[in-house]
Amino acid sequence: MAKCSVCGGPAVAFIRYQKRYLCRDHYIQFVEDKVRRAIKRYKMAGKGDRILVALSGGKDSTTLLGALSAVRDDIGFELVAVHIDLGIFDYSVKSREAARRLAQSLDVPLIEVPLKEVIGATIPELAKKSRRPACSVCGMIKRYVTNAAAVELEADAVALGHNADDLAVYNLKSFLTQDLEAISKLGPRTDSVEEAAVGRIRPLYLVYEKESFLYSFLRGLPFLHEECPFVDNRQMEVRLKEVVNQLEEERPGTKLQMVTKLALRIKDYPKPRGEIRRCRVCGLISSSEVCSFCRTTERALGKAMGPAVREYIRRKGVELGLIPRVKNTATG
Amino acid sequence: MGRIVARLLPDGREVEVEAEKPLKVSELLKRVGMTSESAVVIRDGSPLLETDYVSPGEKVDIVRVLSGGG
Ligand SMILES: [Zn+2]
Ligand SMILES: [Zn+2]
Repeated sequence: MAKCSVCGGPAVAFIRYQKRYLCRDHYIQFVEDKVRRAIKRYKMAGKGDRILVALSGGKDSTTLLGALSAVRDDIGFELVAVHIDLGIFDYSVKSREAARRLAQSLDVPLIEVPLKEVIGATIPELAKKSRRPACSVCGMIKRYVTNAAAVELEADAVALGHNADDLAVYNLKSFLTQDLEAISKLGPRTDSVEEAAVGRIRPLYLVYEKESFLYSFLRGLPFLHEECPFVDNRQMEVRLKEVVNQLEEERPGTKLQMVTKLALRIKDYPKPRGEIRRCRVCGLISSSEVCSFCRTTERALGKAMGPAVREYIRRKGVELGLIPRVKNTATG
Repeated sequence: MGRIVARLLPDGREVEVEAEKPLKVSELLKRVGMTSESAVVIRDGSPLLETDYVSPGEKVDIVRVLSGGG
C-alpha cells in the first residue's frame, strides 16, 4: 500500500507531475496551498477585501468556497456567496440545496437570486422567448447577476470556479480560432471598472479538474455532481479536454505549464476593442447603449429587468446585514 | 470468468468488465474508455490510486470529474 510522501499515512492520491503520494489530510492541504499561492502570486485578494463567490452548487464552486474559507483568516478577506436559481427543473432544485447546505456549513452569508421570482422567468422560458440557445442566455444572465451582486455589495472581486483544465481548454479553443481578444480575458484576474463592473479572480487557476473534484469529495462538502440537462457534449470544449488530458497523461504537468505560461504572457494579448460604457437602463457595464441583459429581458418579457435585479439584491443585502458595507479597519 | 461491476457516475449506468485476475485501476479505466486524469475510481467510499487493483467480484464507482456545464 502506497504511503503519503509527507506523513507516511495511507495515500489516497498520486500527484503525477510531482511524483508524490498524499494522504487525505495532506491532499486537502495541497489544494489549499495551491489556492493560497495563486491568490498571493497573482494578487487576487488582500487583507480587508470582500470577495463574492459565484456558487452554483457544482464541484468547482464548492471547492472554491471550501478552499477560500480555509485560507480567509490567513489572508484576512471576507467571503459572501451568491447563488442564482436558474429554474432549470430538478437540476436547479438540487443545485440550490447543495449551495445552501455548503454556505451554512462554512458559515458564509448567501444571497439567493431566484430568477423566476426576480425577473418573472426561468432560463428555459427566457431561452424560448428570446429564441436563443439556453447556454448562451444562461451565461449572459449569470455574468450579469453576479456582477450586479458584486456592485451592490461593494465587493472587491468576484471569485469564479474555473480550474486549470477549463482555462487550458478555453485558451486552446480561442487560439484555434485566433480569437486573441478572448485569450486576454483568461488570466488569473481582470480589473474593475468603477461602480459598473467588479474585477474577477480565479483562485482555482492552478488546480486541476480532478483535484477540484477530489478536494470536495475528500472534505465531504455537499455538491451536486450532475450535468446540466442543456449541456451539449458535442461542443469543441469537450473534445479539447480529452486532447489536453491525453497530453497530460504523456507529459505530466502540461496543464500546469499551459496556465502558468499564459498568466505570464496575458498582458501581451490584445484587449477587446470598443469603449466601455454604462447601460442607460441599469447603469452597469455595457458595450452598447443598453446592456445585453436589459435588452434581452426587454425583448422577451416586455420590460428591462436590470434595475429589478439590482433592487432585489440590495434588499437581500440589507436583510443579511451586508449593506451598508462596514469595512473592518480596526486591525488595518 | 469473473466480473468487476462498475457504476459510472454521474450518469448512474452500470457496466460489467470481464476480468480473469485483479485489474490495475489504470487498466480498468482504459477498459471503460476513460483516463486517470478524467475519472476517479472509488471503492467503499475511498478513492483508489492508479496502481491499486480491483478484483473480479468487486463493485466500484467510476466518477467522471466533469464540469457542471456552467
Ligand atoms: Zn499525509
Ligand atoms: Zn442594463
